[in-house]
Amino acid sequence: MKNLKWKRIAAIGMLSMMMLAAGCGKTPDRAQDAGANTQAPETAQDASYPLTVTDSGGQEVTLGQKPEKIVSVAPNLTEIVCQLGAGDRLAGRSDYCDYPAEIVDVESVGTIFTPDMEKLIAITPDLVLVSTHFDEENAQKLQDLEIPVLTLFEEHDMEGVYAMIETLGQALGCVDEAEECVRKMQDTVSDVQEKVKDLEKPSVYYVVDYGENGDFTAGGDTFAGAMLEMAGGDNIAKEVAGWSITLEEIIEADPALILIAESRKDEFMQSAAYANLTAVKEGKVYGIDNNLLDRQGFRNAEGIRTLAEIFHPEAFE
Amino acid sequence: MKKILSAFLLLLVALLAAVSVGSADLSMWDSLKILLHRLPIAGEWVQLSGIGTVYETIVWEVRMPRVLLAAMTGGILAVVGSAYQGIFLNPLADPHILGVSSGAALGATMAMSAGLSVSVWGLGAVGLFAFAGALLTVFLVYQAAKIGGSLSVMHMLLTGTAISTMLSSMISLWMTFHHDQIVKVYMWTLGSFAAATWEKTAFLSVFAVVGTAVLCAGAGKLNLMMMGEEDAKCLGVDTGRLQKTFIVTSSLLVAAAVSVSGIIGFVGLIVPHCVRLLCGPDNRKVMPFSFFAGAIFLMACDTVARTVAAPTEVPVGVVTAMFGAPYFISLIWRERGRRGS
Repeated sequence: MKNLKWKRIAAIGMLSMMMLAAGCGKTPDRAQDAGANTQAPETAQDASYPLTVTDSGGQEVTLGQKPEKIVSVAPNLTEIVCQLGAGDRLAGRSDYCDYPAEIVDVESVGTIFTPDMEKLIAITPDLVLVSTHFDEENAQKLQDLEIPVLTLFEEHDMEGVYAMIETLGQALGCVDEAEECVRKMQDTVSDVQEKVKDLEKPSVYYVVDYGENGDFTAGGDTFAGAMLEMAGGDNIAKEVAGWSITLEEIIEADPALILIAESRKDEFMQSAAYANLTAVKEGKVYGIDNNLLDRQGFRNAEGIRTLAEIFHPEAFE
Repeated sequence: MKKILSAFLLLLVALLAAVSVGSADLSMWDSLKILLHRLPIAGEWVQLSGIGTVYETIVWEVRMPRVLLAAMTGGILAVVGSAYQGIFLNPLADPHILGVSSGAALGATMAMSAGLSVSVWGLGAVGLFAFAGALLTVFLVYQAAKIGGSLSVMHMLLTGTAISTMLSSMISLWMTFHHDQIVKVYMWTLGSFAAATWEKTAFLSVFAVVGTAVLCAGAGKLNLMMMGEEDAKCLGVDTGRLQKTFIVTSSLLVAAAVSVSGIIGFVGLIVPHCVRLLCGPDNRKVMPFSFFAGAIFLMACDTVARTVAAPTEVPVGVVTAMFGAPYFISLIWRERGRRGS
């Protein structure tokens, strides 16, 4: 019986890992989040070091010099570092960092939860980037060894993602690139929102997980939930806080469109429990690259466009 | 005495071996040199030229506390396992049987959800809450088992199981509403020494030394008690007091071990049995040898855990069961062969 229980917990664990990847770990200090990028001069491309930035947890992190050996233990931060053109300064990544593809050549230091501390320290990084899943005691240990640890996460909206990118840009001495990156994202998003603003919103259900452990989606207060709305969809779980939904509620709402990770689409459509949903019967189940929604970073803008194209194909012809 | 000394030497050799391997790109010999360099007298003779200071940090700040912590945890779990198996006259008793681990896990879960950051004796909020949860649970079990009469070990076992189950379901309930914490809680319950520090090592060593000494000192009386409580009383053993001493000391030991390492199964159950198969049932031997055997075993398992799939770390609890169970079964086969049955 005990084994069965742990098996179930392991399964739920896998699921909540996805949620963690979507950044629902901690309550961020919003005030400090917003103020994170006001502390250093923004003029020069090479910001003057030593430099102090405030991370998402409200902690001040001081960098002695421009980071040249960066270890990123968060897939989304790895993506942002590369987007800012600092990919060649990455000296270590996590097992889960898989985008952009060439990043796989960088040495891995293990999982995002408990990396191999020996390996991490042997790299002699001058900056370690982590997200919510990183073990706090390990973070403390790195700080004790005078290795700066920058914790960045965002769990609610795009503004927070922009602030996160700008903070990271500052820390890396890529302020201009960060601004450029945010501007591109804003352009994409406002272009999409312009196109979909007067269109009728289809009801949408985003499948985060389903099956014997229950049904999970992105509620109205989550980042992915906000993206669904921005792309001109009507999230059936917009009243939900967090990630839980019941099968009854899904059937009752009978969404017009269903979104699910591409790899799980076929399995979902064959599942008897969902066979009577209109979207399933009419083949309106769309497989997406869920990393576009789950990882906070540059690709979120692309994610919003992808969603909008599914919701309103006519607007993008 | 000679045997104890050789067990101690074996432990030292195992310790050196464990410290000298790891995922960092550093030869065994260089690791040993770094270690020797830290010793008071021998250190003068060892030159560290050609070895980067980062490797000194790795060996001394990362590996060494981790190996020591694993050794002490293994020793504690095994010696408590042997004590419990004696006190409860139950070969299936393990250090977690009185609900200590469930209590610790509930404490750790709450600390993780609350996101507290305090630090006392080198323990973070999670460790402190786990420690407090473990002690509270044993206190609860002890008080509940005493209701309606004097303490009986049978009552303690049953009460412990009941309360342990109740606390486990409280953790499940908590996790139902805090999905985002599930991975952290789950990983914690699997046990790990990844976040070892010198402070934690110091914290645990106090318990390991004093607690193990107290338990081993009572081993002779435990022998008598295991032959029958009445007989032991006739021979002048205050059995109630012995039980109390053993249970309180063991609980403190397990609580301390669990709070620095999470829940590591199997060591406390199997190691004492292995020791018994090797050196007979006399607790005066079983208990001290269990400490050494448990220390060496868990140290070896943790070394495997951190190197076999590096940089990905395998949960140490997985390794203890995977290597321990077959070894234990082979010992039983050998024992049968010797008895010719």
